[in-house]
Amino acid sequence: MNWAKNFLGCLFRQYIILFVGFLYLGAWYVSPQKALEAIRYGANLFASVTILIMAVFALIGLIQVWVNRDLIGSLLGKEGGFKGLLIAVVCGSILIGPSYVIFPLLMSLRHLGARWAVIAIVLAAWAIKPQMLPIEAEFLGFPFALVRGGLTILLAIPLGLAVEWFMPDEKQPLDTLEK
Amino acid sequence: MTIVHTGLIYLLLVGLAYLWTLSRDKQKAQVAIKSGARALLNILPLLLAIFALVGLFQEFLPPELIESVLGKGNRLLSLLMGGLLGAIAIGPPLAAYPIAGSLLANGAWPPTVAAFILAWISVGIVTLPFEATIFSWRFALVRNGLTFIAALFSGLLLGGLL
Repeated sequence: MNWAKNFLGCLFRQYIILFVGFLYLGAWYVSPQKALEAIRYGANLFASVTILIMAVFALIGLIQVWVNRDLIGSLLGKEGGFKGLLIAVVCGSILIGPSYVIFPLLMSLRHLGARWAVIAIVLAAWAIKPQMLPIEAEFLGFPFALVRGGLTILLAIPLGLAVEWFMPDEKQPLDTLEK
Repeated sequence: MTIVHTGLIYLLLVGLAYLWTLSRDKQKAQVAIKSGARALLNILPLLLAIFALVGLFQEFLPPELIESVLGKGNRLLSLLMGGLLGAIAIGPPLAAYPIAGSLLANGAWPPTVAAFILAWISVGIVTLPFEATIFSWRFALVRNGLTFIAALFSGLLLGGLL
């Protein structure tokens, strides 16, 4: 089963890479200059988050050796109850970094027994962005920024629970991160 | 504070945690760094593809285009378009605020602008394949779909509250 999973994983990755390659061919056909600009933008973006990505993956490794499965289960699993959901809101609102850097981090918590609602709530609360409030207020006005942030906080938990409701309730395979 | 600074702060904190781990249990630190590196290598090709995709969208969906689409037309349609464009667009929120600000200044409907920002930050159509690989397609589709609806709904609420 494992080799089949690895093989499918490989194929899937290549399918996305091929897809992006085709898009670039199309972009090149439309405007070589714009395609070059696009690749340059992507490369710059990648360069700017390299350090963050390395830090996050180093953290994922640490979580695997230190964080106890029982602890995660009792805090962020179903046993954690409402408190676990509140922790997720707080964590989500202070996490910084692009979401795609946070996905693997959250999945490592999921493997340790965090419930789906917690993962979804962190991702929802991640849009609150308290550290950006002054900037948001400058562009959009203080009331707009405040109400926007407030609504995001209020909706985070219902949204997370709704996402979980749609997920199958099976015991997740508690493998390592290999996938 | 740029994303590089944020990265450095994260790295510093994680580095300290590693030093502490090293002092407690050398083997644990080794296992941790190895499993982190393996997870990163597994994900790297996909991550590179996503970054290339982000560049493409940045270049072919410029802010001017977004503004010209959202500035006019029927309100509910513009709310939907705001959510959709936010969902497709990708980039730091810092890039969304100026666009949203000029939309508001040009008389766009506030719910449209709010839905645009919320969808921009938390719905990612471009990163959907990546999210699906990490979490499963089911989670990625459910989360993005429900978050999209929540973005439109909060947009309307915000319009009512302001």
